[in-house]
Amino acid sequence: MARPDSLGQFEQLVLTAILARRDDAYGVSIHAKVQELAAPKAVSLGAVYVTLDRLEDKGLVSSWLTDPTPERGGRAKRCYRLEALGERALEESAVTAKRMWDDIVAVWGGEWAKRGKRWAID
Amino acid sequence: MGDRLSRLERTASIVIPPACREEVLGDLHERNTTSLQYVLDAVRTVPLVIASRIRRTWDGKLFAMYAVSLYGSFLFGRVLEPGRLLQAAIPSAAALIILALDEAYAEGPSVSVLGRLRRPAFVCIAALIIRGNILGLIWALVIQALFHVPTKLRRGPI
Repeated sequence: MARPDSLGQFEQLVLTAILARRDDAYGVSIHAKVQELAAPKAVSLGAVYVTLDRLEDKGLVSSWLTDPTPERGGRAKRCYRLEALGERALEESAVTAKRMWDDIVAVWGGEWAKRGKRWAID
Repeated sequence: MGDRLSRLERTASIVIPPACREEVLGDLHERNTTSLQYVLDAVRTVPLVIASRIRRTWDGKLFAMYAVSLYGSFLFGRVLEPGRLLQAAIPSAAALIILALDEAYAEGPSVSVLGRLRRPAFVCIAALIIRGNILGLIWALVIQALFHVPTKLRRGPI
């Protein structure tokens, strides 16, 4: 079985957004979710397109065009879904992030972790 | 959608490469309700879309061969002139940029004779205009015949 390349941080965000949006993962919805995950950093729609193209070239996601809808001016959506390779790459990234988090909390303590959670909520 | 927004959308549709035009225009339409919003969003988004499309359609080996043949033909056309190395590099670079954009904006593989001759014809005309050499045409024809992979067969959706 092919082993996925390691992911950049923005690629992780985009893959997570596709996963979270499930059947409704297309440009606008993915961008909104990435913006939410990356807050307070601003994210441009163009950067999301570039990353989606790259992820598709790597075989981590696949896409298809839906039927046109009136609310989009009669234009179709390009929807995305994770491929098996993408799921594995995201899983590896999440496991690595979890290990990092556990070690950081072990060194900096529970108070720091609570503060981190508070920042996330704010 | 107002007339002004429709006009903006028509303008954007010219600039966005055909392979991703449908979804990008739809997304911009969905996100923006005023002309100003639309323009700002399009200005931030479309250059990245074009760059991404060029990256996807860029074939390094093919363009290296184009670069060598173009530079060689332009250089040959200016063999007796002083400063010819730079003089040949500028039109070659301009021609390569146009070729890269042409590839990015291609709508699919061309099956007609005219479609197949479009690129070599461009190289020939450019070579003649900028005092290059007819060798440019011959080289471009050989490269296209031997190495050019139709856009649709390469990676990425069309």
